[in-house]
Amino acid sequence: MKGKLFRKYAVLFVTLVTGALLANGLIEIYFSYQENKTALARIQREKALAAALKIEQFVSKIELQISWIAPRGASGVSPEKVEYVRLLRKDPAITEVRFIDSAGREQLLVSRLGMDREKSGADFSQNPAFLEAKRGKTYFSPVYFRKGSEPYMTIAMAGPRKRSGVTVADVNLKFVWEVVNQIRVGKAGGAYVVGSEGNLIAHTNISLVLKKTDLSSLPQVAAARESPLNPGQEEKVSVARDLQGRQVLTTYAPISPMGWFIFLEQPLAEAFVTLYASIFRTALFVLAGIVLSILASLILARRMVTPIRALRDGAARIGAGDFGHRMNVHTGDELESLGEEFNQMTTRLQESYAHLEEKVKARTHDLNEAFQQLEIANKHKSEFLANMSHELRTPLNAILGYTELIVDKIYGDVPDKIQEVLERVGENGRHLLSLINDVLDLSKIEAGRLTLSLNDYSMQDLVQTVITSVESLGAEKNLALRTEVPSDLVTGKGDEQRIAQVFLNLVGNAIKFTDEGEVSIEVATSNSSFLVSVSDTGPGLSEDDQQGIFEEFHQVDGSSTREKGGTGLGLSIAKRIVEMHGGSIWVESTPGKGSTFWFTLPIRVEQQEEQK
Amino acid sequence: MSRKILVVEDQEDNRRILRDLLMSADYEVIEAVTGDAGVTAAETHRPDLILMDIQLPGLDGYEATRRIRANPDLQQTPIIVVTSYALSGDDVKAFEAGCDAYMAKPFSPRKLLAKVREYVP
Repeated sequence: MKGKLFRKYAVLFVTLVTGALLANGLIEIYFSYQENKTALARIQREKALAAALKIEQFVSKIELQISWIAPRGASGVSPEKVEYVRLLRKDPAITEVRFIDSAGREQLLVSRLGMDREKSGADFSQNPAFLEAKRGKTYFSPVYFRKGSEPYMTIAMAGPRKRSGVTVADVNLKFVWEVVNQIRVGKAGGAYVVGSEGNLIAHTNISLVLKKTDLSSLPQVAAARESPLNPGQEEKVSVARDLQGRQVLTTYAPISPMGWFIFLEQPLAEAFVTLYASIFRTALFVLAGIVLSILASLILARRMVTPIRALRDGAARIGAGDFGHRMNVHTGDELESLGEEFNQMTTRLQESYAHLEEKVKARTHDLNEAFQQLEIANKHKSEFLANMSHELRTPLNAILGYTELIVDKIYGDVPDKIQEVLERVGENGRHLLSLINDVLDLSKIEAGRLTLSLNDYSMQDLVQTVITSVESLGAEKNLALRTEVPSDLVTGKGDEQRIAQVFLNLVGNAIKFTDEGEVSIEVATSNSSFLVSVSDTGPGLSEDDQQGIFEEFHQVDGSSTREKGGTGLGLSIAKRIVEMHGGSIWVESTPGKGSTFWFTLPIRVEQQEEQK
Repeated sequence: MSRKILVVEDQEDNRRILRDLLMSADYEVIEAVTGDAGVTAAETHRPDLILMDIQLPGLDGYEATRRIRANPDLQQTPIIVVTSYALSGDDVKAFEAGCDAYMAKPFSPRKLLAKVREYVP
């Protein structure tokens, strides 16, 4: 996928370069066109001027020769015929010369075509040639044709005096045709001469002339007639259509004094053939340039975008946690230094990250050590308690032993009063001893020093042993001891002695707290566990007491517990033992109606549960 | 003829209690403070019954019991092991060592005397 940036750059570059190239090409083409046109026009114009000059010279030569003869023709007097004949002989373009006297009568006619005649008296007084010449101006007639195909013009000139006659010469204009025919503009271009009325006088195509084609409607002719230019004046070249409707490059030059114009024209297609070729070449170059520049733009854009993309991808990788990644940008510019900044940042990040990891490791290590030390300290505490219990018990044993010996009168008679006190001493001593024993048990469990000795046992026998050891207690309080143990129970595996301890604790409590009614032990199996319940008809437990009854030193009622000889540790120890076997213990109770302690015990305990 | 009972016990108060108890019941009491002394005394005095404490300095009660049992002359002599509050497995170890009865501390002098009378009336 191309990125947005690439598109942006590519479009920008292509637009810039293409625009510049196109503008350059167009400007070049425009100026080349203009210059070419101007140059062509100048050449054409020079040709036109030269042709115009030739024609002017031709006419003015004739005019000059006529003017030489004219003065001799004095007023009313016929000039020498000889001179007229000489004139004809001298200039082959002059076909006829006639002399008209000041009254407008023909006095002499010398012609190449017909008979000479003298004093014919033909009336020319209304002839425009006569009238114009008499006004003192050289008269140039419109072009006319003789014998169908010969162009002629009449030139009339009056003598210098008032009474002078007028010399009228008919001039064959074939010379003008020759001039026009000689002019070649390129291959297809040519020239033509237009008279002052816009009529065609000479053309390479003579038939057009003979048809007396009127060109006054052509815009270039109209424009020329409207504002005839002085020869030599710079003229704007014009592009127009010729008679056939072809586009031509055309220029003209005026031919004075007849008021003619010589037009030169060349078909545009030919005139501009080199220009078109050069335009085509330029266009080709521009096109090639554009293609190349587009390619270059794409490459440049890619080169600009590639490092940026590398930076972006690299930043993404680093962002994703790949701190080992390094920017690989070697553009030698700001992008490279940006990449280096990135790399330095990443290095610092990596370092601080590593540092952080080390710190976490160190902290974890410290914590573990502290935790281990705590565990060791806790173990030490438990061991201390265990040892202390043992040390406490030794002197206590002595006290109890002596007390019993005295009570048993081993040392002789004892007064009744002392006997009674000693019995109280014995009772308190035994309570103290059981407290110490429970503390010792709990400490051992907590220190992890109590290991279960897992052996096969019979649940029936176990329950029987428990009943046997509490029978006397129950009997003392007139309580019924009921057991409900199926006879077909499977052999269990566990620490029989510790399980018995749990039973003894629960049954002992039940008997202790129940004043009338019964205490019952029931055993069932469910899901490869023994389900044991010990129920009593005692005072029951409140909701709060049920919650906390398995916690150390929890006492339902301090004074009564003390009275009953409890330690507040028995249920905690029972709970621990059950849990070490992988079972659980709980209580259900309704205050005033009694309590039922339940515990489950996996039938086959193969492994001691780890204590928290 | 009065019956002889060997008491192997390192604790002085316990020794005295046992002595007072047993002498009041007309037994002859021989006392030993260590395991070694106990074994020697057993061989020397040939008591009718031995009360053996487990936690003894040097040779402990189990080892002393085994050594006494190793003597063919003393194989029939009843030995009652008296141990501190039973650690799990103590009783098993005691029976393995070859004792006849097991009594956990704290013992009631009354109950101990009853136990003794089972073996030596």
